[in-house]
Amino acid sequence: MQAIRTFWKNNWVGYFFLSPWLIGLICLSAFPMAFSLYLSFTQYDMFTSPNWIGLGNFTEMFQDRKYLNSIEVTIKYVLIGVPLQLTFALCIALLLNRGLRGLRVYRAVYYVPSLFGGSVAIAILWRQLFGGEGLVNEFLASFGIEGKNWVSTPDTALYTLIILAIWQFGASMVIFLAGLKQIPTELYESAKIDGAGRVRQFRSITFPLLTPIIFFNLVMQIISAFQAFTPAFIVSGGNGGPLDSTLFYTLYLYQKGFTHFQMGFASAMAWLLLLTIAFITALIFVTSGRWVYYQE
Amino acid sequence: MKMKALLIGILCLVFVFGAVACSNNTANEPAPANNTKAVEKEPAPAAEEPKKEELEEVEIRFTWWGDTKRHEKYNAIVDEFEKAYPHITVAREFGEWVDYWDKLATQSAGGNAPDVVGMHMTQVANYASRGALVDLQPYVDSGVLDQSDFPKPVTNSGVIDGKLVMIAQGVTMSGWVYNSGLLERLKVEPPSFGWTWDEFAAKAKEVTTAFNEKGHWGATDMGGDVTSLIYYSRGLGKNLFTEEGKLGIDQQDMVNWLTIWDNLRKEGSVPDAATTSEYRTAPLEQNLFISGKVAFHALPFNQIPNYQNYIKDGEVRALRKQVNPDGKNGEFIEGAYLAVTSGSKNPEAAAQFINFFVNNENAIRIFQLEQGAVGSTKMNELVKTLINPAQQRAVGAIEETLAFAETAPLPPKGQGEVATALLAANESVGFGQSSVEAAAAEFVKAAEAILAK
Repeated sequence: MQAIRTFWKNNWVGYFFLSPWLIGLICLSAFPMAFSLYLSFTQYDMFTSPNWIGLGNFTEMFQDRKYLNSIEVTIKYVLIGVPLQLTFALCIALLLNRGLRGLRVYRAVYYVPSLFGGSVAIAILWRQLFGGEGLVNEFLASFGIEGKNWVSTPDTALYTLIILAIWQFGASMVIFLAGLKQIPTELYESAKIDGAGRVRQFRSITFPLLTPIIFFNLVMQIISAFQAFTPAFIVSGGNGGPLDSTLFYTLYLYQKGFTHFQMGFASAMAWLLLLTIAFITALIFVTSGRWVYYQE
Repeated sequence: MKMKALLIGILCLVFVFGAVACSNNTANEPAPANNTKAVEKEPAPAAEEPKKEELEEVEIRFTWWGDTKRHEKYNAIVDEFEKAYPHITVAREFGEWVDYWDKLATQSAGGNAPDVVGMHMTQVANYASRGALVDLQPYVDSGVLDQSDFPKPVTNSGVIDGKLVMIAQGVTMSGWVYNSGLLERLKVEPPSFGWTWDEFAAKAKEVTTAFNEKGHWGATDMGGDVTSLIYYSRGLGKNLFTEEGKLGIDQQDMVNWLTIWDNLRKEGSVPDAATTSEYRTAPLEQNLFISGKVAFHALPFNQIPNYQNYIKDGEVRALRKQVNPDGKNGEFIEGAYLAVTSGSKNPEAAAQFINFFVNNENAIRIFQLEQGAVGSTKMNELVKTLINPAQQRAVGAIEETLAFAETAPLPPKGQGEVATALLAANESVGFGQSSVEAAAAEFVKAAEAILAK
């Protein structure tokens, strides 16, 4: 008891200054999360009080074809979108890193899409671009190619969203660029003397020394790709169509909770998503020892 | 406690969604302009009943869905109400259709729903069956709410499980429209007002042939539209949703329904699935009918004036929904309603407000046809003296089809999910991903499971 009192006496100022954040953490994160964990074991329609059903939501999930479909769509989006986006970002970063004049301008210009990326306006623009009479088809038509209705055909709708994700490469690019600047130029000089070509230099110097950056970008992008919501919501007009081809996990979660009044089910989905992201992130961390190279 | 639970639920979702969802929410939500309005300090007009001076000041909240133009109108109506009832202040909240229901669900769950809420057929079961709406019958009995000028079917359309839970604000009927100028240009005779399914298919084909142009079709594809399926089922003497809230049609009915649209699609009389999907959520001014790409379009008749605003080369004229010559009438009353939520602290003031909205001359002068023909037949006569020809055609169409209308069971709780399943069935046939039989079987199975919950 005495110890606690002394501790408090010595540290209260610290906690006092920390309190704005601490209150936020407890009220806005910790407590709500704990409550949603409770809700995930209940049937809760938001009007009547929650009704404990144990693992009912979780077993129902895996019999729900739409749910399984939403997992498939999301995984496809992550597996195709993230690698392509990172590759693209790295390529642009390499191009910009060649002592270009006006680098700052280019960097800013390429970063702009990332700022707008998640916005509603861009998602609407995307609809216009890839629609049946959109700009993309007009462009194709000038080559005599007849395009199709990209956003509303089930086979292609998801890919328009993937392109949208790739287009937002700016954030990863800026980080890559910073990473590239960190690589000592002596290494390239001595490699040149040893007769290494461009490709060899990239493979043996740039790539290994960049792996910590790639690792960071990979983790960040995977997490945000799993949580993607806005593009699918807007481009599909809120229903994940056509034929559920853009029904992301988060979009289905939203529908369940707010449109179909199944907040318990939605909470269970949210927790499963959190666990999945945590698991995948952990997996990347564990394997990182094998492929991430730190200079020290 | 309930409020806390809800708040927490939402916060959790927001947390897990991360920044993406957050930025979306702020961008998407309509600005809650005019949310709270200062109590009017002006003294009551002398003409009003003097005892109101002594009445306790109360505040009620009123929420509705709609676009900017409607917000202007409703704000004006509320201003009129506040002038007439100086002791009641009305705070206004409004939003777009989709956001509106998300927000209302959240507020109701949190126990802080507005006192007076705009209600709709497709949603009312969600609220009424959970006890979220007040029974208004006592206020009718005590004379606060006057429905004496309302036709019986209109009054009855607001009754659920024997309780009067909502009052018709604007009554409308569904049907088809065509642009007289376009049909003239194509040299196609306009169809008869009560066209049959065969006539519909023939006309759609005739128009498509007359267009003879890629990207132009006879009619909009309504195979995925739940209202159209309700009409079709009623034509068969059935109900898509029965009184008990179960599915009232069988697999064969569904096969027939999907086949009708599949054939039209194959003939090119309605657009391909991708085009239909693209334009399904398009804003009014960009839709296929207004851009002159289809000649027949299905809508609730109260929208005729909105469509006429964009169509300059002819009149937007109404047709009934396709009639089943050997069956029954499909018509049933649709429209917008006003309800009072159970959490309301001033249900009496709320009822007074609703009464003003649907019966007061000044309110009706502003409302006109905003969400359909007004419930009161007396007020409807007044509206008719105020409106332009397109609006008159809308009222005419509503009145003419209202004569065929019978009461229909209100859609049950799961109707939103059933509507989604119907859209999926029609799309999967349209995109060639499943046969008509498979899609029909899948729909019936899904709908029965949803409605069994």
